[in-house]
Amino acid sequence: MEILKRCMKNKKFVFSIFVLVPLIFIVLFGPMLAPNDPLAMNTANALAHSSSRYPFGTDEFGRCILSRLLVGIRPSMTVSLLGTAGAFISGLILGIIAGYVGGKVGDVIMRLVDVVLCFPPILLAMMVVCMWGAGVRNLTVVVAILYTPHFTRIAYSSTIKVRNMEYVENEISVGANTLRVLSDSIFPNILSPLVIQISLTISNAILLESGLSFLGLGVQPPDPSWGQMIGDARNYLSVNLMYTVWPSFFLSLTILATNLMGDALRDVLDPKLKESF
Amino acid sequence: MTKFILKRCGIAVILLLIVSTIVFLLVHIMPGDPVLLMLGTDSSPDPKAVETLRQELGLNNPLVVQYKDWMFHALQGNLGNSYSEKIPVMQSISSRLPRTLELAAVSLVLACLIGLPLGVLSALRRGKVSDLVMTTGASLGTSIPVYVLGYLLIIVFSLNVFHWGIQPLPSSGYVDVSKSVAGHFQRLLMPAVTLALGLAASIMRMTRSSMLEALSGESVRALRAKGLPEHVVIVRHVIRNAFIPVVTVIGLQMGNLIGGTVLCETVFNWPGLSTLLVKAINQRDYPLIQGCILIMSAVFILTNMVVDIIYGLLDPRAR
Repeated sequence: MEILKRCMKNKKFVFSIFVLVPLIFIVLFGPMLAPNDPLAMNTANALAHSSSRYPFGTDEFGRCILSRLLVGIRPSMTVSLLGTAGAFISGLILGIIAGYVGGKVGDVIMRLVDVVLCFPPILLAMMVVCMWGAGVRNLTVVVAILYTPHFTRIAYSSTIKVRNMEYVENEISVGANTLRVLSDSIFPNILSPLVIQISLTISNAILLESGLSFLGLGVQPPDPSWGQMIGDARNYLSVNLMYTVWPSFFLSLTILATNLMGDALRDVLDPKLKESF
Repeated sequence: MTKFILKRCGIAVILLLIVSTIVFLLVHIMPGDPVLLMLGTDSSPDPKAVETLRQELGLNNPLVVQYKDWMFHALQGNLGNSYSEKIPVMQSISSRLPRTLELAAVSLVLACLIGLPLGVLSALRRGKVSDLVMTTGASLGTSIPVYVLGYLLIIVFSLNVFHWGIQPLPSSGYVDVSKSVAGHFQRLLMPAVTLALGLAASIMRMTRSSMLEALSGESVRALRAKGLPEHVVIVRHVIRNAFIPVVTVIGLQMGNLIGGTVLCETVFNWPGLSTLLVKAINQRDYPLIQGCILIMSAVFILTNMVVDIIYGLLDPRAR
């Protein structure tokens, strides 16, 4: 409750909630809100400007841009939320094992995780896409793999810090079961840096998914995705400017809101850093 | 110090070995036959062509032999032949790599020129309106995707939608320096600025927070108490300490910078390594894909090594 109160006082948090709540609503109910069929083509009415039937105009195949926007948020969100969840869980488990068990096991885990970091993220993603093909499922796996190291490193260093605290040593010395030590003492105390990382990872994942879709290596047509719409609109900049502007605006707004959420969470959960940003 | 540098180089060599092994394994761990994919799956391919290509790629040899050959050739700078362009992979890469490096380097310099002073300024004006404007700008800068920023610049400066009295900048393409120096830099300007702004935002944020930390340090109070003029305190003592952590951020952003070139080159049709890679992926030209990924990862690893060494030179504790 205390944390929630502090969050509500934070302007960045309030702003991001104002953006993210409607977005989540659109993710859940977008297809029902869409005024037209997002896949219905009508070449006679291609690249039309805003009208009452097509509030945001139409794309090069005469498809309703608004409807495609409302539906096209889904792949980004699915990939980034599920991928981040995957990265969080696997990073948490690996990091806690590496930090708690330590020794050789810890070393092996940390070095394995480092391998992922030898590649620039988008290159690794492109590599996976060209092996297994594009699509929401594969992109989710890519995001999970790519961002596991970040969570692992954070969980590892916090676990080591907490493990050497006296209260944990006490608990171990009175013979508490390992799982109990992990769930009661370690987990709650390493959670806040991980939560901050979650929002950072989500925004990075949205950037990655939309970037790949922009290059034509992500969500495959005819299904829409914001990044892919921006990529398709490239050739029609001088004909229908708003075709590029709308998806660009909503994509940037989403990422901004997620980033601000991360900043706000850091302010609230990590007061030591509060002064810095 | 020498030991530290040698250790960093050693780590870089090990990372390069790992990366090249993974890149080698790329065609072996993928589901499906790379040869059939390269020839196109729509029609049933000629068995003779399949066999020739298989032979050419050396896919008939045992894995260990293939690995040995690949590593041996890669060390000599031979990454095989591009399937779609029928020329050595190294040849296509070496003509395009300098352009990507140029774009990345110019962006990095621009980003530092924008990010460092703004970060210092906003830390010194902390809490004032100008600070708020700058930090908001930085939040926007880290949130807007590279290609969106690129299109924004194209819309404003090439399509000239606001009808400013400026000569529209060319929105895409590449002109070699030897042909036209002005043309070259005109076409470099927008992609470089696009890439630089996002990076500048991260640098600015880090500079600001590390300036604030340095400003609140005990030593600063002592220096002020000693009666040193404020500008001497800031320039000689605060800024010097504040810039060290910024080096790490620049290092961490290298991956994003390389990722950014992939998107930025596509937006501006800059014929660098990244556009080559995207083309290679679309054409399923596996030797070319392997080559591009290997070289770009090598650049990434080497720049990180350099950043680590610079950091070690600046901050002896990090050695």
